[in-house]
Amino acid sequence: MKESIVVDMSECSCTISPDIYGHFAEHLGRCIYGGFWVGKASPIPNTDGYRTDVVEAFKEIHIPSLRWPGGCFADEYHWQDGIGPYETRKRMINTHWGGIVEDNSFGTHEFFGLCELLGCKPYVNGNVGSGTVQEMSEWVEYITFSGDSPMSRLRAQNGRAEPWKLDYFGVGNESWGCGGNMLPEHYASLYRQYQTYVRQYGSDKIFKIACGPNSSDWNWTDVVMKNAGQYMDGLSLHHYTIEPSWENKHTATDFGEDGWYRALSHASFMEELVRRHDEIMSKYDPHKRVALIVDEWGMWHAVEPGTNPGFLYQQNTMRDALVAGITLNIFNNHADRVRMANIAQAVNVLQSPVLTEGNRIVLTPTWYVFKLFKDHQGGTLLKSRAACAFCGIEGQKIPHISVSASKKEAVVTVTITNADYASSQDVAVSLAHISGSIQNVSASCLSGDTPAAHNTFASPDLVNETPLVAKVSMKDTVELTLPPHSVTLLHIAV
Amino acid sequence: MTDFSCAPCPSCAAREMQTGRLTKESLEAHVASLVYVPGFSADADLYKMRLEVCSHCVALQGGMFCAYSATYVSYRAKMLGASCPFPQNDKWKDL
Repeated sequence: MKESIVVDMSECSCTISPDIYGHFAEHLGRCIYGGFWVGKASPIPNTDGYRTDVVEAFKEIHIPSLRWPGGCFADEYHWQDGIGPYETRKRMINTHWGGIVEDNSFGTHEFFGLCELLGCKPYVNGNVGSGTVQEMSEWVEYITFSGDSPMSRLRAQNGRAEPWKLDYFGVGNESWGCGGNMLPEHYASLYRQYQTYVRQYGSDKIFKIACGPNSSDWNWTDVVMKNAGQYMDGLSLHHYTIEPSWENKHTATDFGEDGWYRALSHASFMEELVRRHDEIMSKYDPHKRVALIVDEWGMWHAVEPGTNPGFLYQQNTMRDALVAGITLNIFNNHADRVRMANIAQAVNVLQSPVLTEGNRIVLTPTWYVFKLFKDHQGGTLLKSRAACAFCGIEGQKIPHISVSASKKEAVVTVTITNADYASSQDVAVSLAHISGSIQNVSASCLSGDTPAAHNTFASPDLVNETPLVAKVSMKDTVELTLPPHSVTLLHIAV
Repeated sequence: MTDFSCAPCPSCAAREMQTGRLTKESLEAHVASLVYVPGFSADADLYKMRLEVCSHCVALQGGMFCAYSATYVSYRAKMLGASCPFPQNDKWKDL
């Protein structure tokens, strides 16, 4: 049976924020140390301490923004520990698991240097849980103040005379949990207080993000929006895809057909999360001034065998790629409310686009999905619909196909996932209300031999982007066959 | 109905897992208890030589795991096909 996708060329609703394709780097495991940062003296090729191959990998997928230093690490991070000469920075040793050293060699200057190297916007998450209003206020002053002040003098003394541009600032992280175990009423009051001192010193606006709900905590969204919505630019949302349950997670490569569909069904729950939180936010913000910022999302597996369980290091298969594709399509289709998202995490932690080991690097299937989707960044969202059958197991049925579409000048970008574990899908993609006719079409695809296909340090190219045949069958229609368990990019010139 | 129960945050989960206080001795006892699989497991001599190399390596953290791979060296050394991830210098290559 042929499935059908309709892209409505007459409904250009809003711009897809590039920041939906953002990333997240926490001081956890080997995300920062051994991931982005190896230090200037490392035998691993680097640019002023930044790992060259990792930086290049993220530049290639047009990383738009990077969140740092956490996560919950943010709520115990004291920024003054990470400035000044390396030898005087505070060193902390984790004696529970092998004497891991946090030497604070990656701090504020190194983070902004990384963003400059990547060409992306910085998203700094401030400390509410264990920090003070003064500490947060002075951090913002240190980063952004161009005049003469104690903090700007300290910055200059540490080698940076000019302020940086701070695009995004998070006021606390997971304040309902590790960030302080607060009630929403209490956090809303604290948010109003702390954000007051996130001063805007220059003409560049700092986009302030409040701590939002954990997954389906609708009440948190309601209370925080009601009491503090007028003081924020964004509200965060965290949701992880777990399979089959938190207590019984498997490693990333250990799954069968049931595990495949359970994971994709759980990932598809993001649609309900975004829609319902949007509805609640709209009670207080009907014009959608406040953005929903999904700044932690992705698959969470058991760690790879033999690795430090505290490092959250996991492999990444075509199942992760489908989770990424389905989720990013959801974000695109809700671009009027979702204006930033940050997959957790960028390197070596959870659903990472990039893995490293020594001087070797692996680009995971998730990296390829970000590469396939990058042309959506800044595009105009087009309404799209898939009329398709469902696939899956009892109680975990999901549509075969998810889709999103955008337009830049005369090129329409369509991204399509085929969630079927084993079967290909014949698809007709029609451009409704097209003024002329389709000029040409190209397609590429990420599939892999099996649903569990993945790249390893020994075989880094097992899963790779490949061209896909797509033909123009009518003036407004393209036909193609989606391989099983695949993510496809379609470019249609009109 | 599907249970979409929430996960804790990554930092908290990592911290929780670190409360197990695994020791070098308990880890090596666990690895020693793994079944020897010809063609997959390193034999006792190779295992011992690899760990000897690791014991002098600057990348060994806390006497247990490798900074370049996050793996416990006693576990990695047990896998016949594993290599040493030290940048530009596989220290197990000639063993």
